[in-house]
Amino acid sequence: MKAKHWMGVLLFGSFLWASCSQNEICLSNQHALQSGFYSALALEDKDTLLTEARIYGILPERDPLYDNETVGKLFLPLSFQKDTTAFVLYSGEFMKDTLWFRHSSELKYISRDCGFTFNFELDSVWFTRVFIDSVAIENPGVNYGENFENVKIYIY
Amino acid sequence: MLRSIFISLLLLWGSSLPAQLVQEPVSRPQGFTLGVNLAGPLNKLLDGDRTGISFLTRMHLTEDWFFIGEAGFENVSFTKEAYDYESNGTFLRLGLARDMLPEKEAGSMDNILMGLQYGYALQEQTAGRFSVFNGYWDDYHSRVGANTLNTHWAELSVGPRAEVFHNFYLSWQLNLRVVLVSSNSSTLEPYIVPGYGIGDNKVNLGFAYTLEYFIPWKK
Repeated sequence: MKAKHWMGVLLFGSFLWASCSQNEICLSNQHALQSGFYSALALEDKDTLLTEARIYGILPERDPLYDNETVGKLFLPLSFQKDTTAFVLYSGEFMKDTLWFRHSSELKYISRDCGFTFNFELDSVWFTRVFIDSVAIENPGVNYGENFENVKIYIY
Repeated sequence: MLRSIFISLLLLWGSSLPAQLVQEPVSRPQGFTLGVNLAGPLNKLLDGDRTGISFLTRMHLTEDWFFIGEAGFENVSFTKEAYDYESNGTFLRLGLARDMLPEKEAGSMDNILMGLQYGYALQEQTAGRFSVFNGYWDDYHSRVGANTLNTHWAELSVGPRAEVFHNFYLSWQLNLRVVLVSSNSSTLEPYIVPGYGIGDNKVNLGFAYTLEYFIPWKK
């Protein structure tokens, strides 16, 4: 085999090698539980909207995740440090409810490019009842790479 | 019709027999090679976090069968936003290869080698720091202490080898590697398994460029 053929083979091989080591895309906001609002008045599940919503974490109090927005679905980040994460939900200026999520967490290695994350398991939920009627845990696992609605919040 | 085709093919095959019988068998010198696999230094060019090299030998068992032995090391060290990582390890590869070149020219020492190897890597790895970013609540920072792990894999290789100067060979191989057993008990998966490649993958495609010097023991 002539030298120029070998050069071609080496170049092809190098290209093949380089193309095999593409970096993967790391997902963000994967430790947030997903919840949707549903009408408490409907006989079957019927999604609804929370108007003039202001939602923020407490213990300790954080900046609003949603501020004076109309929302149908929520992404609520869970705490890495505590086993209970709490949020205050305002609808308008005076209608206020509080949600507490109790959860366990497990440290997981995702990949060489993305490093580590926490996966969560929702254990239970408590809430006040001003405009919230009930809350149901549909999918207790909040896991990296999954896109499920974890919690249904039924509101008046 | 079928019968006449069969008879014709038989006659055709029969007519080519004398030509095959008079062909002189090509005999090649037997011996072993000492060489270096440049995959490690080439990996260093593509990924500066990796440092490694390996050395190999190929011994004639028969004219077409070779024993292959290879030993080397590969270290990885990097700092990323998500984590710092360090791994030091060595590996061993043992197996057989067969020369698949159908017709050997007199005087030519070229081969097409197809082989099956067993690979073993021993490495120690640690993540001196890692962070999980929350974006809303507090981030989490910790470390993963050093742990030692073993990886066993099987490897199928194929590629040509050519004598570019007298007794001096250049070859490349494409390798398909499959993990058989890994003893990792840590949360941390190895970034790179020495000699195997990307630690996240159960199957890896690899490449080898080797330079070898042939030492004959039988002409």
